[in-house]
Amino acid sequence: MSSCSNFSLLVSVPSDSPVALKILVCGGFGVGKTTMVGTISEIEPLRTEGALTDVGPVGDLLLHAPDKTETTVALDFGRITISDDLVLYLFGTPGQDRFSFMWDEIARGTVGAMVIVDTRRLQVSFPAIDYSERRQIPFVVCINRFDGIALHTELEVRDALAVAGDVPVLIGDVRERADVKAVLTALVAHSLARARSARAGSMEPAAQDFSDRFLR
Amino acid sequence: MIGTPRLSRPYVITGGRTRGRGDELPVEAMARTLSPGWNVGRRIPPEALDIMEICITPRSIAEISSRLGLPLGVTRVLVADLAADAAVHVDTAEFATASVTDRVELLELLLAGVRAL
Repeated sequence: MSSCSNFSLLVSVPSDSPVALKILVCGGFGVGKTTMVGTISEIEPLRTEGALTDVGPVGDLLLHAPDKTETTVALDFGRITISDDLVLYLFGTPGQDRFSFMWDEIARGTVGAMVIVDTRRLQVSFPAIDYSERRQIPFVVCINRFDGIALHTELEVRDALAVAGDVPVLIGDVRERADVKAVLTALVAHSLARARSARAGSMEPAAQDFSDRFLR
Repeated sequence: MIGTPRLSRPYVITGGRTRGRGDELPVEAMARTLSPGWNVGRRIPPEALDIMEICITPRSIAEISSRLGLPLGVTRVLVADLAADAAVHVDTAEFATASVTDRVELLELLLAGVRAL
């Protein structure tokens, strides 16, 4: 098919299509994912549907709903045009555990994830954190300040979630553009730091070869 | 929308297939129409013509799906078929498989962009 898989070409030569990057917005059901997408998106959040039949056997799921032949999962997303050549999509992941199979498909090639937590029910965001850690997806935690009140400090939440020390944890209101921008910026900076250290790691063997030769 | 039964009409559009020619396109893959109004030489579903029409401006798989009210899976099949016919071009810049140098470069651009929001 007529698809361009040469990534370098896309970066260096402006194509007619912009390069599209994506970031996930996750957390449990009702933590404010779609609100967050809507706060920073340049368009009203759009909704698309992935049908369960897209993913092959769904026997177990259908057993629980024998009267239904097909079930759909709503996926909300927004868009931010960075430049003529670069577009960022924000995808709200389906909040319920039983739809977590869809995450693999949405997560492939993501820049990172913004995990929203509601301190009144931290546990609903555990699957999103577990998933990001397991898949080594860079992520930041946003403690949603509902009604202007954060019930716990950043340190308390960091302890409760047991996230790695380099994972940014921010407190913010997902309805406030400045707050969402801060969370988004923290995520991209974190993802960039990870990519830079990966690049430094990939250069080490070459440097080693050079010093070996030099010493000999 | 969750839990709502759907009629199977979308899969009639794709002839019952839930996988398109070629691989699964990422939701952010950008499709653009190569030659508007070009006759692809076979009978294609009206939904495919709709895709060709709206992708005169490049759009992602997710946007096409949302704008045309088609499930993601159906959109992928139709777009992959159109790409196979060279009616649309699909840019699948896979961030995951990009070289680490390209990733750093892209993230630097993205960081500057989000800071300027």
